[in-house]
Amino acid sequence: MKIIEDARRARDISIYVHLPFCSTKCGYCDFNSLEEGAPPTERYLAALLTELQTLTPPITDKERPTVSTLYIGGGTPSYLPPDSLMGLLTGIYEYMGLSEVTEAGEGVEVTLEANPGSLTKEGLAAYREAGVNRLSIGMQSLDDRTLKALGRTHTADDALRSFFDAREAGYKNISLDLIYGVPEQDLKGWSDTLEGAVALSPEHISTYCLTLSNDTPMGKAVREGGLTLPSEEIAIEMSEICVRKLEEAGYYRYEVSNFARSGFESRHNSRCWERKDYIGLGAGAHSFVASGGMGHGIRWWNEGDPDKYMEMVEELGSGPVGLEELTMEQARTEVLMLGLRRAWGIDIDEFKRIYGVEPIVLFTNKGLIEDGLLIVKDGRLMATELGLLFLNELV
Amino acid sequence: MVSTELIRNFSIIAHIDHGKSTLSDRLLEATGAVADRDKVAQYMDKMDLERERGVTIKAQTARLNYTAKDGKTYILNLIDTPGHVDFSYEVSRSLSACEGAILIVDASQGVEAQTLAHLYTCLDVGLVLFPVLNKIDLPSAEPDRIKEEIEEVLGLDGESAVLASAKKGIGINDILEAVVERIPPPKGDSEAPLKALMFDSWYDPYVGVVVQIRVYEGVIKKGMKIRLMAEGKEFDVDTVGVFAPAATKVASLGPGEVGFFTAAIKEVRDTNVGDTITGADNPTAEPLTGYKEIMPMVFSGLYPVDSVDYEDLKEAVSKLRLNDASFTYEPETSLALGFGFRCGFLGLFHMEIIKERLEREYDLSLITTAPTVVYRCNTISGEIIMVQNPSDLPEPNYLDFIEEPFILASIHMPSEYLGHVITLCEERRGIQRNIDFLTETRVLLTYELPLNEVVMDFYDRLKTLTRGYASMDYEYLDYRKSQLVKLDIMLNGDKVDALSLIVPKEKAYLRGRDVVEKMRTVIKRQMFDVAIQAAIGTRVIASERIRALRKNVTAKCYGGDISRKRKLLEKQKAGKKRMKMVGNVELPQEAFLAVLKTD
Repeated sequence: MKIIEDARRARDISIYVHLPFCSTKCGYCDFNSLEEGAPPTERYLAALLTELQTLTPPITDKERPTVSTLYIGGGTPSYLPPDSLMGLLTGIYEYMGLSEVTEAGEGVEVTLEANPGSLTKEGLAAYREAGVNRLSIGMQSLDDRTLKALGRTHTADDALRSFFDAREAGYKNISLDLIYGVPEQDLKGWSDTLEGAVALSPEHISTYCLTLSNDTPMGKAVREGGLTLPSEEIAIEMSEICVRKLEEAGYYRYEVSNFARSGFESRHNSRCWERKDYIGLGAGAHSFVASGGMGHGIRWWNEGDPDKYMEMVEELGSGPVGLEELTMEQARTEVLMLGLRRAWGIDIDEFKRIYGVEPIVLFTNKGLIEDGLLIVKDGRLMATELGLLFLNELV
Repeated sequence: MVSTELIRNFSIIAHIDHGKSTLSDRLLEATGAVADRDKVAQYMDKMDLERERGVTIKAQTARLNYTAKDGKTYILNLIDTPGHVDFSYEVSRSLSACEGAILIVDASQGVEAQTLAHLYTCLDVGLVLFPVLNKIDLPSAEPDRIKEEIEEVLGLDGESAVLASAKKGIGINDILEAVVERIPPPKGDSEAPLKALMFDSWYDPYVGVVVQIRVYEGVIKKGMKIRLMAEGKEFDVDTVGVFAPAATKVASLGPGEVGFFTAAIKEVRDTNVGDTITGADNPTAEPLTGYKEIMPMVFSGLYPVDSVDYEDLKEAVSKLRLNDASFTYEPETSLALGFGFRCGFLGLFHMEIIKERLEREYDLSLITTAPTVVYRCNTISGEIIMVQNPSDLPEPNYLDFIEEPFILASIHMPSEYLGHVITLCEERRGIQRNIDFLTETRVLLTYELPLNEVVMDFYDRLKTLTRGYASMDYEYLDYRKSQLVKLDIMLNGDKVDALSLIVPKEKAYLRGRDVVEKMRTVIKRQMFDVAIQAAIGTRVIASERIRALRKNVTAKCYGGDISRKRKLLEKQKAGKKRMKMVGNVELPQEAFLAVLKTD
């Protein structure tokens, strides 16, 4: 299979593991997750390891890749019994030959997504022992009304308690996910959430504007008029408040939605945005190998249904259902699209070296620099704060 | 050489969709010219584009061998004619190469304006006609009613009409017999100096221009030096042949014969349809009558959306020009649109075809400016300037008066729509010539109209008002003095030259309002406010404002699925591909044509 050949060509990879299981599915969620699914079976975990073995060469192979980051996402990974998770991680470490997993900033970054509702002290200790050195807590809000509107099962108190428990368990790199633009949410509620989050002093904060797709229950309710979203003007104001408050508190916006204390940027996500290789394991997971395809990268994605995924892996060793071999133009579009979302922007000389053109000439709209939407600084092309609000129009 | 007694030269004339191409196919099949399994549906229409539109652009002729009931084998030359109003001159030349024509009338729809127009052309050139009622197999066919209509409207003998269904293959042999019996054989003296009519020509990259001819007198053969009488150019004949329907070499072509020759002619421009060909050494005294130089009637600017495509566009228009003498172009520069070409066309339909071919065959993304006619500007110093581009109109203080071309339009429709159509023609500054009730329910309306009003959305409006039942044909009349002014359109205070238009003075305010409003609806919101204004000289007569686009919150979560995000952008970008940046405003193609729409 072409994908396997390409996957095995990767030399320095990130691994993403998808655990599509949740206790309940939130009304706005269009990620690949299952409600009331039986806790992930041993069969699913076995499939993940099989897929890993298919896509990367065995430990004895001299050509086998090194691993920079490992990210366990979902779903609700913390919904997994700590023992099972430990088994999964140990399996990955053994196969990839990762003996030492150290603190963030050195060695492998191992992130686990966790929800306050399912996070226990025992679990936290077990994950830590299993080498998890970065926690991404789905706090979403510190306003119970907003949490309720989102259909989350946890309360603001739960969220705070989870954070303190994590610190107590020794986690030194914690990220909080916050969400705005939620029905019934107002500027004050959002502002309070931000202040509460900053007061906890996490290393990293992600803030997302609620995006509803039509086929989610909440999307349907909004379409039918039962729910009202804050206007886009309000959502933009929320975004502006967020940037201001977080920057004042010493977090810098290294990507449109992501803020970190210096040195605590998500290495895993940064690598995805830099178009470094990542191998996704599990139902619905996405992968990318930059040297694959026709030389401009290959992306593929797995079967989303866990049962079908498991069947595929058991039969074929891997579960891809779609792939895309990028053209030069597509790769270039990605570099522009991903680059402008990041504080680092685009390295103009490097871009020219690879694609033979100045990035600026590829924009349909001219005069973006004169109009203050883009800026060139130290040989890099970046979006200004105003430009970040027009990103969809720029590229 | 073939005896003229055994030759029949004929055309098929019909309204679009009345089944001309299908009948041509059947005639070819019935005479064995096209083996069934090899046949491409509708052989006579060669270009894809034509097939899609159901019309013939370049005439294709075919020589058929038919053994009639009298036991003799005849050569039937089926001469195809282009099927649209823009090509009426070519139609007349093709028809004059024949002695007779089959007039197809749809057995349920009856006589249409175009049929009538062709009929008049046939009568003008003295052809013998016989009607064929086609689609006789359809349940809606009313042969008796249509026969009556043929007698009343066309003045032909309805009872002699051949009943046929080209689709079902009914009546095909009756038609072939009728061609032999009713159409007279050609006459001509093979000893006389060569006299042949050129009725079509096209460029072939290997042999140069291929010229289709009908010989009247004398003989044309290989090696002979010939003269094209209109411009006096001389060439040596390389090959002589016929289309059977594949090109087949013959030794010579004599009186009454139809075929082609090549003579290393490099440009289609040198071969004018309607010209007379004679021998250079022994020329005929008089050329054939009816020759006209064809002039483009409608002009429009063609610009690449992306200015880097200019060279490609240049190559593409020069290639098209090789095969289409009625298409003209010259480089033009617009402040708003950059480098492009001002192109001349026979009419709107011709323009559409050229544009589509450029986009389809040459993969170009183009902006077309609103089509205009050629204005004759008389300056106070007594000069006459022909203006094809509104932005070239001299300043008012240099202008004495402007003249614009008028046409005579024949509009054929069911009588219930007469009132609506008259109103439309009056709105368009028309002068009524005639209302002719062809039958109780069908009317032929003739109007003198400024061509300028027709190149706007006249056809569209006509079709809408009559639910598609009207058909129209036109011929060029003359230039007439009119009160005209230039209307400029400004975006954020800057005049956009490519949007200027020339309008009747009394309509200027109304048009200004309309255009500005239309522009407001077709220009998408931009990152900044856009002011749209219409002005006559320095006077702003209408203005609209497009509010800036709202900012979008881009902080969306999309996990590792970068493909999805990129595809969204690509989709958006594809939409922008047809946009032209004018200053910092993105203009879609519709904005350039907004100046045309009046409702």
